[in-house]
Amino acid sequence: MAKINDYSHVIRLFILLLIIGVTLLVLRNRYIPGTFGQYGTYRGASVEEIRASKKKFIGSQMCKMCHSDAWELWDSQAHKNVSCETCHGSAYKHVSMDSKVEPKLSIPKNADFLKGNSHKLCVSCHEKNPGRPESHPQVNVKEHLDRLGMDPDSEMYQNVFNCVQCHKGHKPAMF
Amino acid sequence: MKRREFLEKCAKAATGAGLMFSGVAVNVSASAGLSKSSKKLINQDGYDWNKHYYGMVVNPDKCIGCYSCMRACSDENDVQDRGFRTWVERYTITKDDKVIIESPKTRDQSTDKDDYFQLPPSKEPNIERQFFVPKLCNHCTDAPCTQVCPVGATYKTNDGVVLIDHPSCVGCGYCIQSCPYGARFWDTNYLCANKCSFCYHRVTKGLNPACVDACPTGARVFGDLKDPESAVVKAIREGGAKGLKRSLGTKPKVFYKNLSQEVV
Amino acid sequence: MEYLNYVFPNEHVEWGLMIVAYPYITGLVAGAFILSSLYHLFGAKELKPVGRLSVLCALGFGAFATLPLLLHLGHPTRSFFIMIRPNLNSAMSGFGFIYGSYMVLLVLEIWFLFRAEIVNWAKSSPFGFIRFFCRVLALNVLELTPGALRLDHKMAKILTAVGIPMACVLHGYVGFIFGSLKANPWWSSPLIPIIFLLSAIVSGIAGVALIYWIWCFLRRVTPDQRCLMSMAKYLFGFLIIDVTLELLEIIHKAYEGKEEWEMVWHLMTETLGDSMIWIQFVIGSAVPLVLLGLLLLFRPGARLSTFMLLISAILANVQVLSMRFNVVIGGQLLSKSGVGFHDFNFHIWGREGLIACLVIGLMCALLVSTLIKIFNSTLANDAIS
Repeated sequence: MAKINDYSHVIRLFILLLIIGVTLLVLRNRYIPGTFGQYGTYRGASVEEIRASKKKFIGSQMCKMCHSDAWELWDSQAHKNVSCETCHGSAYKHVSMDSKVEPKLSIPKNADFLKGNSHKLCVSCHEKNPGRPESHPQVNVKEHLDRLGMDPDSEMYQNVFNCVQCHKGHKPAMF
Repeated sequence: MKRREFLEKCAKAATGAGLMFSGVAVNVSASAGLSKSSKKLINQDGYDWNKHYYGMVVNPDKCIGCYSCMRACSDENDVQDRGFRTWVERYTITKDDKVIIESPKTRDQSTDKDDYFQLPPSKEPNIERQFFVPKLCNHCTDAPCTQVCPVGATYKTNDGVVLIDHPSCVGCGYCIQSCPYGARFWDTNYLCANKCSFCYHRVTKGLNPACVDACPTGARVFGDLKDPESAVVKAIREGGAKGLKRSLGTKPKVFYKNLSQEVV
Repeated sequence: MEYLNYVFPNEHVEWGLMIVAYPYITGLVAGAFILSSLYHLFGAKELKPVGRLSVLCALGFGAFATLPLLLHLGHPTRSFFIMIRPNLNSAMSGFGFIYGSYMVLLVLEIWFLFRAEIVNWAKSSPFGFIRFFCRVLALNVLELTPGALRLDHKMAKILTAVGIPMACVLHGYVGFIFGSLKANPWWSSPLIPIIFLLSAIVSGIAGVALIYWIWCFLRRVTPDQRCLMSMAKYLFGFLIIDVTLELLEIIHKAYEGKEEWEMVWHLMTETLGDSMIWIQFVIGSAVPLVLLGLLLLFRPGARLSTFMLLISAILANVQVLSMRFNVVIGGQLLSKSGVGFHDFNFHIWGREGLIACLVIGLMCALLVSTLIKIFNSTLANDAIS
């Protein structure tokens, strides 16, 4: 053992701190993610991870491949700027090989209040609303139904005789 | 005695210095080894992120408040029920100069089980005018959120999209506090911050974000600010496009056309 | 144009009571350390009875300073990311290094200040394991030569000198976390870091004064009057500067009258209302200032002086705690929309509840009292001389 003098304790303290410091450095290199700092102060691998997420909406062009008749009709009428999946829901399950989901006005899971009810779906764009420009086709639903002698709260209207009986989704204009 | 003490001191100093240098050597060699193995990444499918810089133009005049964009976003991105990656605000200006701003509730907030992601028509009697303004993350060029993240869990890619690295987020909430636009929210499922990602997984493959595709009136226009033929550059060139809260210096990349002075 | 209340749909009050507790605790740490530096470095001899006591208090509080943060984080298991992969652009990333190195400095300072006692226990404690433990703590150097003791004294002084700016950064960076956010008009200000630091010193001095008095009371010993009066003097001085700067910030915002001033005024007078005006300014600032002013002007007898000092110390801590609450929670009650306010819901239970805060406070108090008990006799000797 070295001779103890006035500053032995300080030297030993210094050595102890150095050892701790180096250990911490080694631990840091062991646990830091490999791609950190690659492109900036973030984990570089995260970019590709996010890019690899699955897409749910496949686009209206894909629907044409199997549903060409309906597609041609839709593309020639007033709703041609409303994409297929806006009303029918995302189609990634429908086109995937291992799924047999039929999107019949199926609505994305976070909007299940629409529950495939066309009157709610149609109304979400076409209810008369002061915020909508005058050129946009809109109607006061209650008045519209009153004229036809129907009650919007009735079972009949909600489940059987609703908007699509007269206004087809792909060809909404009646005249 | 003095010489022995001196030699002892030198030995101790040398040990200390040796330890320190070995620590530095370990550090340097470790990072050299690491960076060699991770040079691959971005260009795997030929996509070069340096060639693009994404932005969006929103036209409140065309928005009809149908909320299709919100439904599409929540489907595409598996958004939890606590917050909105994008939302639509409704501004009602009454005849006596009152401004009423409303936006839909999340599913967590809705009291009646059917009243989320939509707003029933306003029952306000004296409406002077009303309009809808879609909002989302502005993917600012000088984003305050990326500046304040303590662990680098949120960052701006080279193609101008601000993303969140969820496995790295510690959940401190500092980025949520720093966003002047209220675009970020606390995700109660992942226990970290969440926000619009411009559908990065779609736009880097040549598609549009889900909200842009879902909009029936074309109120949202997306594109590459570096491409002079892109829809977004053309929309900006038409004039009247400006970002929100410009005085804060965040340089937002979502531009609003003919922004009315009431918009917050 | 009159706006009705509107808050952005994504906004909620994210930072709760834990983020109020954290600046308060680190404030006590920094403040107690500054008080001890007044004795060790600046030669305020009448503070000798609390010179070493305050460093122990600083350690006692500082040991639990990370707890509120860990309780708040969404992923506390990832908290070490701040140490190994910080984004140095962020003020918050400084937490790892600043807090870590400051605690190391505190422990070293205590080591140098109390080394003589540790070595004595290593040699003559009746218990074997304490002898062993103290031998390890003393790094197996069991001699107390006059040269070594002088060196200890000098190292303590150096560490104090290094520790003062570090204490300022330890609390200043917390203030900067708030002060640098341009998105929030209540927080964004260059004065916030300074106000945080000064109120930290106020709470530290007041806290140590209370602890010192309680410690004397429990030992049935009369506290040193000169020490108490000296602490009253420093408390008064720092409290004046602190309150002046807090008022200056409000006056400045009012005078400039920027767009957000209406919101800020509404926040102060109505949303925060009682908490701001009555608790922070009237009860927390005005009353202690008056009491301390009278105390220092008229120098009444020992018992009345001590009583006035203790009331002022308690109220000063109330001021500092309510200021932290008003800044942290108040800032989040403002909506980024600029036209709305939120409500704050006090949680009793849960990770960010009142009970959690009280438990942390209790743990700090226990640690401080344990530390003081361990070094009881040596601290008592400090008071005599």
